[in-house]
Amino acid sequence: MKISFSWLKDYVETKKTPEEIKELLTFHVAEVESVEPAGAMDKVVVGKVMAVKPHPNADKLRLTTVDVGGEAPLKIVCGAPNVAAGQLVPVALIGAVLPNGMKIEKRAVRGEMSEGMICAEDELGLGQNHDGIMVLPAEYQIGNTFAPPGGDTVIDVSIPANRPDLMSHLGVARELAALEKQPLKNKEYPDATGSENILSVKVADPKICPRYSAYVIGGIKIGPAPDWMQKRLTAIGLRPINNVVDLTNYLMSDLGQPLHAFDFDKVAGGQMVVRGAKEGEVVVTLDGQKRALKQGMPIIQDREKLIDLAGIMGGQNSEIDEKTTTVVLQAANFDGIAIRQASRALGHRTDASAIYEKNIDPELTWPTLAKGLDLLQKMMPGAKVRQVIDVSAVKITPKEIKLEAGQVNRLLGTDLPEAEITGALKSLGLQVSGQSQLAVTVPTYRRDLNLPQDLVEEVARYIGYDHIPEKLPAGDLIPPPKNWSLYWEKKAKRLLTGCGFAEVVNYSFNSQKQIAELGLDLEEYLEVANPISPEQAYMRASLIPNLLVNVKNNLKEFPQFSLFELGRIFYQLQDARGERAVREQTKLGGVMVDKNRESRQAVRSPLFLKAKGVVELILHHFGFDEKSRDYVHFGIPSTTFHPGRAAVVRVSKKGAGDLEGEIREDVGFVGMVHPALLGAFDIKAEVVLFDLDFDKLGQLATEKREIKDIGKFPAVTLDVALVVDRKVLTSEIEDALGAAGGDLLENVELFDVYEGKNLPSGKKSLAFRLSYRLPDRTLTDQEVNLQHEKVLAAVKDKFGAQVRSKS
Amino acid sequence: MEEELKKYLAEALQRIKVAESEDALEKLRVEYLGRKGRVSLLLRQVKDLTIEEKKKVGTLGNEVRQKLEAALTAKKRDLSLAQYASLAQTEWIDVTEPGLPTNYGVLHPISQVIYEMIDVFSSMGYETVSGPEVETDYYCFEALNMPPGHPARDMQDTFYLKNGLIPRTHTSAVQIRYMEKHRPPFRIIVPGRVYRNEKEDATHTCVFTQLEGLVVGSNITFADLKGTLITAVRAVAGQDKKVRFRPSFFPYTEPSAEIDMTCMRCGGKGCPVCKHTGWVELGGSGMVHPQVFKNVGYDPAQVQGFAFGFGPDRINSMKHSVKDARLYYQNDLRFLRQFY
Repeated sequence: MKISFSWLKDYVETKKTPEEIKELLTFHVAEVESVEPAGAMDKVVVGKVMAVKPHPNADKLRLTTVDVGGEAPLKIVCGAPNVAAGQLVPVALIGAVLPNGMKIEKRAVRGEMSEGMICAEDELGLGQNHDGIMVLPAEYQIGNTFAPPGGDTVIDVSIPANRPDLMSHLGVARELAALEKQPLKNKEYPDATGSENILSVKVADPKICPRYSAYVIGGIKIGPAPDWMQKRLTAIGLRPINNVVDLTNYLMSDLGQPLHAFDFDKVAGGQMVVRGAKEGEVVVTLDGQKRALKQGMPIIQDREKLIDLAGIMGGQNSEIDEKTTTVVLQAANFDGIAIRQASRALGHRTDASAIYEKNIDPELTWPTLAKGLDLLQKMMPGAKVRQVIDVSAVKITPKEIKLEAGQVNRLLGTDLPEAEITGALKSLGLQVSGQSQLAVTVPTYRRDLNLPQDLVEEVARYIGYDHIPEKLPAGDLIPPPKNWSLYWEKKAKRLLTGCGFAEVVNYSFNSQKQIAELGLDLEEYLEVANPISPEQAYMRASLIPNLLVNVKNNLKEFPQFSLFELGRIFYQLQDARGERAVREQTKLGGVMVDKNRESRQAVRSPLFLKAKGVVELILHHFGFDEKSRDYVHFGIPSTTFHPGRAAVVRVSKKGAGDLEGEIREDVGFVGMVHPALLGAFDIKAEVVLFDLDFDKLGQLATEKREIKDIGKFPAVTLDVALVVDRKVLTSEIEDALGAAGGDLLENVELFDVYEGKNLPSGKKSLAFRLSYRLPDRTLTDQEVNLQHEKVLAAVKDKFGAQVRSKS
Repeated sequence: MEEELKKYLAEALQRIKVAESEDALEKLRVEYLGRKGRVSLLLRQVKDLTIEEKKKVGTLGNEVRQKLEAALTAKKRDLSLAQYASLAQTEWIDVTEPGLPTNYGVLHPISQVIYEMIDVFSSMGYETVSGPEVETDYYCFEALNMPPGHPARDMQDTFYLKNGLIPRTHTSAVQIRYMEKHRPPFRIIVPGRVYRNEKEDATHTCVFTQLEGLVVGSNITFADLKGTLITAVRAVAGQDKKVRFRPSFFPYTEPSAEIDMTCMRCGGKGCPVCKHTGWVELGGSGMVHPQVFKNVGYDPAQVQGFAFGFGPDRINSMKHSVKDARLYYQNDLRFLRQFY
């Protein structure tokens, strides 16, 4: 809300400068966004001419150097005869659009570069003078936005949604008067009377229009509004149109009551009905837009047609023009919710609707019309009220709120004497009676005050929040309950960063295309009704698409890297009754990326093994030992993972009681990304991905460990290479080795895999290191050899393995 | 005999001193201290002496033995070190060459600032809780005293899902869910993602992070709110920071306050980050509105509480001079790796 400083002074004799008012309002009322001289022009600044030189190619042009407060002075070609070094001048910067439509660009003028324009009065729309550039007085500051001299100051206040009373000069002045303890100079105007009965107004739906007030005024002569009014409107950013339209705009900004003026002669049949629109009705508004209405939008019709999109914008067919002689000056009260819904549905917000939305005081219509008439008659003495209309459905009486004075101190933590509390309330225009149990009467314009707590805020802001002490909540300091999901989250992130992964945070959206590329059913995911872009049309169904976008982007700079994200995905499940329930699931996704491609024919993938190693590390630290982790090939086709180079990650956990047995759960996947998906994301690198259900992992994880004794006796290690068919699973051989090894075999470790030269095709060689050890004594060579032979016999037998060498 | 022992000692020490190799030292040791060495042989003769003399010579003999052994050890060490004397030249490396990068990753800057805040509030007794990101209208608006049609709903540009649900516009929704299940007194914080359907620019992203706080008890006051936020801000941003409160409007708090803190960029002197005011907006706060308490079944006459919310993204940007908030969500490693 733009407030003119000179206008404000109509109401209160402030002792403060605009900057001081800014502080006062910000700390006691509402935030002031800016204080600027009226008429400030975008990208026109004050500059100082540093030097003037002749133009080498043109006699009438000069080359100037102008300091505009930027990093370097600008070089500007200037044709004005009066330009001279040392002058303060208005400079239009590159990108400025001047009132005459001229756009300032960087360009060469007769071969010399010019980075802006030093302006003459007429170029800034400030007069006709084009004899030379404007030279500004010394009080102008270099670099400031330029505004014409001797002007008003505009204070831009950000009005909270609950204070429509502040959307006016009167309202802001009221606060200022209270804070400065100055009287408010609010003149009352006499109500008018009219003797004719030429217009009938009916409010068909009092809910959307709690009060309808209007004067029918004859003797109107349309012309320009007086200078002073035009100046004020211009200062707050409104364009003067004609005396009647300007009057309505002026009153709205003055008192906070939107008005509308109809040309009475265009209102067919001398009748108006305020009602809710029927679906599909159409009204053409003042801006020429044809607007199709929805059921219930507030409108006004005459005998024949719709003439007003009530509370938002007038209708074109009842607009006043230069021939208008009689107007219906309407000051109606429309319901905030009705106006807000209509304005949102139509995507059309006006100054009037912005005020109505906040639910204004129905008592405001009458004094606004009275003041309006006074101003109108000063502009055109022949204006005369022919009829007065006041269809008032709702009678508003001032509210009374009971406030126990002690509650103020109890809520604020203050120690204010009662006199200070009542004093603050009274200063703000509330009536207070009683002692300790106060009865507070609220003026009708303060519709935001309803509860004792609202009054506490009034007291607090009046005395100033900085006068409230700082304390800390008293109470026992008890350690907060442990948040386990946060515990596991931090643990996983610590491990992953330790493994060289960078954490990414992506928007929680996917495009429809991304979900389709993963082969997922769109029906199961949550579609955004009003997305910003098609890329954000769905709540994300998977972490994978965004991770792959991150991969694609980072490959431009880095040949190898690892990323992870921990965040939620969203989907909906159909329950037994067919209703859809929304689910959120926390996922841990990671990628390891290498621009160097791997052989797809090789029986092993180093990058896959690296990523699997990371997954192993996480599972291990989440309390799943080697025996409770398992990886199996995909049993179902996947378009996300490479079907031959990916695994389902499975963990098992002993149940708490004997009856529960062992829980086995799939917790996610690790594997190379499907080549088709890499193609869809235009990624030319090897990418191994893991995608884990972090909620499930967190539930199954444990931070308890069973610490085993460390063996005291030496181990005997024997290496063996087994040649088997290439599709024999390492895990199965390990299991068989372990089973055959009995108590003596402490550990089996795969340390090499080989295929190719010296081996028959279709075969691979797996080299294992077997450690034999007993906890209570040293094993003899004989014992070890005997056991080792048994172990080898078992795998030879089971897998047709050939022993390649042994040591 | 004593004279002889002393003579051997002096003589042996001198020969140790000039010995040039470990072999030579070993020979000297055998010559003097070996089983048939000079000192040993001499000492064997004590049996012929009187008891008194035996004692005297015995003591001296031990002394000589110890001194010689010490001298031998010291000389041996000197000889051993001497062979390394030229290492600085013979085995020189260029220590100015860049170290090999260790494979250490990096936490996202927003995680870093959130974890820091969680630590601060945990130490003040706050439980960290979370709630759904996709919310119903009830939890996101209505229960927070914003019934349908309430003008304050326009304060936040809202995404809507086709099924009628809402990606939450603020973490305040979790206040309601928590209070429905718990009784006061309690202190909680809620870090989490929120969604706003607004045009993106250098200071606005349509997804960002909020950290919400809620404290409810029988006598929690506005003064407690002030003290708490000042304490927390100083713990995160430094003890020299100031915090100020000014009137504001939120439907779910009354009284409501906007929170400003000293600009972390310029320390309050004024800079482009704080638009030359020395202050930056930190977030919103206030005393929980009685209607909110009623909505969760609390008796507003029995409980009071405060709530606050602020943006970790902004705090991080201010602390580390991040000029464009969109960088947080673009995940360029050149950006992320600066937050080691």
